[in-house]
Amino acid sequence: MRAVIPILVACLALALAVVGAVACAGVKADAGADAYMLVPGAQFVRGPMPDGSDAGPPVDQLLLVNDDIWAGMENDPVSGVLEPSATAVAIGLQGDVGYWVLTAGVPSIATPEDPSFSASMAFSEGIILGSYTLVARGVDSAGHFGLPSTQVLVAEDSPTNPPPTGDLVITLTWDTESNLALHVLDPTGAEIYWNDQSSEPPQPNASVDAGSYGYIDYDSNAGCVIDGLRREDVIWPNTPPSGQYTVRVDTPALCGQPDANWQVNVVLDGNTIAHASGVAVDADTWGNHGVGSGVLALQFTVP
Amino acid sequence: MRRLAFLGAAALATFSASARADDAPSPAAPPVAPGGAVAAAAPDAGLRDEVARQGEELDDLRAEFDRERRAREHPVLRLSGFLQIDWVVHNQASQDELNGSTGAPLNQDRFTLRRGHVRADVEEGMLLGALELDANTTNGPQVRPIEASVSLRWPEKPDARVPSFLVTAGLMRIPFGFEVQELDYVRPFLERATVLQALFPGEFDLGARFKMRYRFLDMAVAVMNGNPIGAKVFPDLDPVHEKDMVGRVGVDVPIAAGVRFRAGASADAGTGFHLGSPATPNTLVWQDQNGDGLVEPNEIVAVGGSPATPSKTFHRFAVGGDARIVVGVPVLGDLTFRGEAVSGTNLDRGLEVADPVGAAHDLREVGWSGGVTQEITRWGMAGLRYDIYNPNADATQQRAANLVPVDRSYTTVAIMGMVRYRGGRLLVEYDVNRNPLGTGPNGAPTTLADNALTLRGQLVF
Repeated sequence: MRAVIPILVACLALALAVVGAVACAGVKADAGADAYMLVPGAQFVRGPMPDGSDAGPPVDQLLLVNDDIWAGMENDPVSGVLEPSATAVAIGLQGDVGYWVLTAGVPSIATPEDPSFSASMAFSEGIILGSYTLVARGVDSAGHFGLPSTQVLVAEDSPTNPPPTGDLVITLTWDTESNLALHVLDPTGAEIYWNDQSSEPPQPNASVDAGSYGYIDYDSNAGCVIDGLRREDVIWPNTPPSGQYTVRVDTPALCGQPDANWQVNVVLDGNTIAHASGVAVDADTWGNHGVGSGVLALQFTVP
Repeated sequence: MRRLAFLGAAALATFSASARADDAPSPAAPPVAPGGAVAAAAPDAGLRDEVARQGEELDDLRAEFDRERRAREHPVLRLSGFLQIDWVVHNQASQDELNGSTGAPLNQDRFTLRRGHVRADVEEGMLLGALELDANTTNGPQVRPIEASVSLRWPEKPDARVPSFLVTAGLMRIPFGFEVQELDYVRPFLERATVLQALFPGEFDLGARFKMRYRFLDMAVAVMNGNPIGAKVFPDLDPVHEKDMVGRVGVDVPIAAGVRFRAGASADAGTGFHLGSPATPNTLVWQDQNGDGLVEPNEIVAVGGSPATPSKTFHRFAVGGDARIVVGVPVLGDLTFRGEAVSGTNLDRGLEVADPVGAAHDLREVGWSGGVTQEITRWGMAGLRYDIYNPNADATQQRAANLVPVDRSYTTVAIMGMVRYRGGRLLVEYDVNRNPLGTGPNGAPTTLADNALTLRGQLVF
């Protein structure tokens, strides 16, 4: 028994040594889903890109199709040519939470001596409007980073889904591919929603100014036909009627999703005057989803 | 049974003889004293006690006889099972995110019902039947048959003097190697070696098997579908009409006092399936290259259609060897060394599914494992195992202008400690995993961190 205990201790020490030797190897599993820029298929490395030097290979060409980017943009091609000693390229937005590593590919016909790279970029829904610097650095087989090659990208509103403009804009957004519906009851008594998309004509016996009409711009994910927008706006292009407005969020269907986190934002004359958020769950899908449906999100008054 | 009947008959004869002796007047009967008192009461009382004792024995024999007859008329049904509850305390691969392609959560740090098996075994003479169900939450709640088989055995009762034969049909363990056939609740480590999980995913397949055992030799050969229950493609189905042949020949011998040697050689040969594709029509594709949301002439691309491609089959096989040496260590318990090696071609069905048609070359799989476990009295055990698996020994990677060979190996160092009490176990294991799934700064494959610390509670019932 006494002879066995040292053997067991030695085995344990050996095991711990093996663990210590190999536990720190490799890269961390990280999808980089919180980064502003995403490169599907590439390795994400969290943290700032290492500073390069002359010892590393430079990026000879950095080619973009679009300098303009927007939230939710996908399949934005990027490509380039690397110095012959490069085996990979690191690419990312300056100031982002991390960067991406791509293995260098075969040379192109135009530059038969130089490795190339190509990828598709995607940009987060949460990217803030403004200018960004796209940085690319070649990396050689020893892991030396080269000097950067940069391009300026400008994040702007999506041309395919621009934000609505108007004196009063009430916006509902949500985060899963479910079917939510915005209901707005205006001071005239008109309820604007997917089945009654405009407050025109004004309700009879209205006692308030109904000189401007509101309308809803889109019925997103209607009938669970997923369009990816997940946003609806009720807009008064001109001066909205004075009085109290009531905003409700209805949930016709969750379309197989467990829930949906929603937000309502009210902008009057360019200023946010009210905001609310909530969660739509299965119980919210009950009912007829007609006039008066939905949970109360907020109420506000237009002077 | 004959012996029991003989004993019963003998007891009946004894009882009858005693009764007759009681009834008949005995010439040696003691004289009766005045007043009816028995002059020699002691010998008579002794006889009666003897008769009563024999009567009780006879009743016991009758009851035992009835029990055996009932068992013969109604097959014996036995229920058993086991539970394995895992707590993955920490896995380096965990992320609070979803897999972009499957939608499955990437977090691994969780409680899991790894296996919950309920098994019913029935015996009726030379016929055996088994049905085992597995409930688990590995990929969400799931209940599935894990084993369902009928068998014919000979002889009916095990007899070491003659060979024993067993013919089985149904869903059963694949007779390849040692770990594939090792029971889940007996295996000291959490899971099987990676090479076996890849080549024989799920360990169970449908088919027919012949087993023979005689003295130190045992042998099994089976004809099976070739798509085990855990296969990524067509599990428990068979898209090709050819069947796989699997078998193992093994020995189990004592080689010294307190030392036992077990070893075997296995082989698997069969036919794999490459999926064909349906015909596709010519299409026009709009690629919004400048992202303005408007269709422009230079953004329209014609994509030519393609004719249907036929499905194809391919040959696959594997050979393997396994060995164990069990040494009885005084006071502590068994010290077991275990090793297993497999070399295959186009047989990966669980990890990186082999498709030589798509890859345009055969995929050579190589893997082995070696480990040691030491019982620490009957209350505990400790162990260490190393295993390595390369799903494509000829893998290459395009790195810049060069096509370079790369190592696609998965390795695991498993360090295990266990305490046990009767049918229960509490097991802790730290797995140091290395894989080729990450990309290093220089573009070369590197390990995507995947070390894991797991606690497992197990109960066998």
